[in-house]
Amino acid sequence: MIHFFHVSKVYEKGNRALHEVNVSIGKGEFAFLTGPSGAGKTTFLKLIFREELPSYGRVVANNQNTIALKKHQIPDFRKKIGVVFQDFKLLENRTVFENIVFILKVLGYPASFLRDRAFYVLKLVGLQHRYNDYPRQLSGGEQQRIAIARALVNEPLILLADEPTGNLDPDLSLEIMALFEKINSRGTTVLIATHDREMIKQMRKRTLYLDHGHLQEHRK
Amino acid sequence: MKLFIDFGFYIREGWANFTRSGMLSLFSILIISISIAVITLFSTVFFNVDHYLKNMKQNPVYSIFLTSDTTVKEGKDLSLYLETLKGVSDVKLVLPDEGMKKLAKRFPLAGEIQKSLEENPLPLSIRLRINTAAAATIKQALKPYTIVESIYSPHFFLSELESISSAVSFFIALIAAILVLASVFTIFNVIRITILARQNDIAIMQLVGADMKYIRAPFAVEGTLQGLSGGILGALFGSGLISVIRAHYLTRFQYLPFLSRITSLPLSYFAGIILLSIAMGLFASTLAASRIDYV
Repeated sequence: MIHFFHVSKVYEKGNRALHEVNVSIGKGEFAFLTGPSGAGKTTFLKLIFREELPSYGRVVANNQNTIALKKHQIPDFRKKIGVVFQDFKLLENRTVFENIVFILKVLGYPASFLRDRAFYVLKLVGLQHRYNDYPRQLSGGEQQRIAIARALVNEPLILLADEPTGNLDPDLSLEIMALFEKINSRGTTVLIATHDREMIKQMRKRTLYLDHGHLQEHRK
Repeated sequence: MKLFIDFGFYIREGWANFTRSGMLSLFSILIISISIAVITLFSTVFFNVDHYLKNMKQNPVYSIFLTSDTTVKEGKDLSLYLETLKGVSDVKLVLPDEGMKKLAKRFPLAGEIQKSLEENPLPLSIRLRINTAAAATIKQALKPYTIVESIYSPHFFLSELESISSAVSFFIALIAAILVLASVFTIFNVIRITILARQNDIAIMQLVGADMKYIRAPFAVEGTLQGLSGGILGALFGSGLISVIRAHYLTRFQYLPFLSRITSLPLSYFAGIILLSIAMGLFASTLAASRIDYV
């Protein structure tokens, strides 16, 4: 499902984020990506949903080489990938409900489906009562849960999450992880970038460890 | 069905953008309104002059001046004869007093001259409309009549007016083109600023997989709405301006009576002007939105 072939990423001024990364994550797998701050975790995720392109090597996600993608093919490619961003990336001038429904609208779901589906995912993250609020009216943890709901709403083939429990208390973090497992059990490939070593220990899943752009792997 | 859903989405998003832009939208509408008002003003003048010229060319009004010793009976007999000719209409015998009254109404100075002369120098005359195609035959038919002193045809005046009109039309078209360009430029820049202000939202939409059409089309709708609003306001303002100018200024030009009879544009012209404004909005905003690149 996700393949990195000799991938290196060098930013301007020679700042190297990833170095010769080779890894494959199979369909329906659940994996963690961990490492210290600045290790390249966010870059790794960005390469998968083509927010960044590799400087060297090849990234293949959902059987598509991200370098070979033409510009007009990018939206369709991204529709199959759900992303929980570290900074949430919610649309500030839309309500929680509109943030969720927007995704379904651009994916062309019928109007009759939108409301039920949006409330279903809001219920999953326990925020159905905040549907009419704007992101600025929510706490960091609540915004994170909305970002998770948005990433789940169209049942993507790949789910990427960048520090999805960073702003959540331990109980809620466990609930969210259980939710990711549930999504994973339906066949969605899940990759979570996190600092939370306790969570990784508890979940006992495949773990990719990044350190200064170099990848090591621990299979549990 | 998908097309209708998409279209509904573009309209709702475009309307939301339009209302969110606030002062920027108002600025754009103001510029378009001014341009459209001026275009409406010019179009009204052009339409009326063109209409007047066409009418005058088709059925010009001739004046046949009779010799000073012609009696009213002779004048009436000639009028009756003229009515029988093909291509002639609206024949009217004008008595010298009546002729002087009309002249004085158009040129107040003529009335003063008559007062100082103490007698009316105008002869009997016949006013009539002659179809341009029949003009030569009618002139030929009048040759045996010795009481005919001279025949005044408005052709020279019309050709002069036509050449002035075509020169003025060229400048009107030039100014209209400049105004259209200015409006397009304004809408383009307002939409560009709006796009820059929403760059963050646009990036998020792209990252979650929104197609470019979902991102670009609402901006095109926003520009179209600016064009529509500016077009309607400008057309109303322009026609209001025409009414004010006609009521307060054009009535002063009594020697050019057609000026005080200037009519508003027909509805089809207004529709055309508003369509032009919509097209400007759509074109400029589509151009601005097409510059949004993929993230």
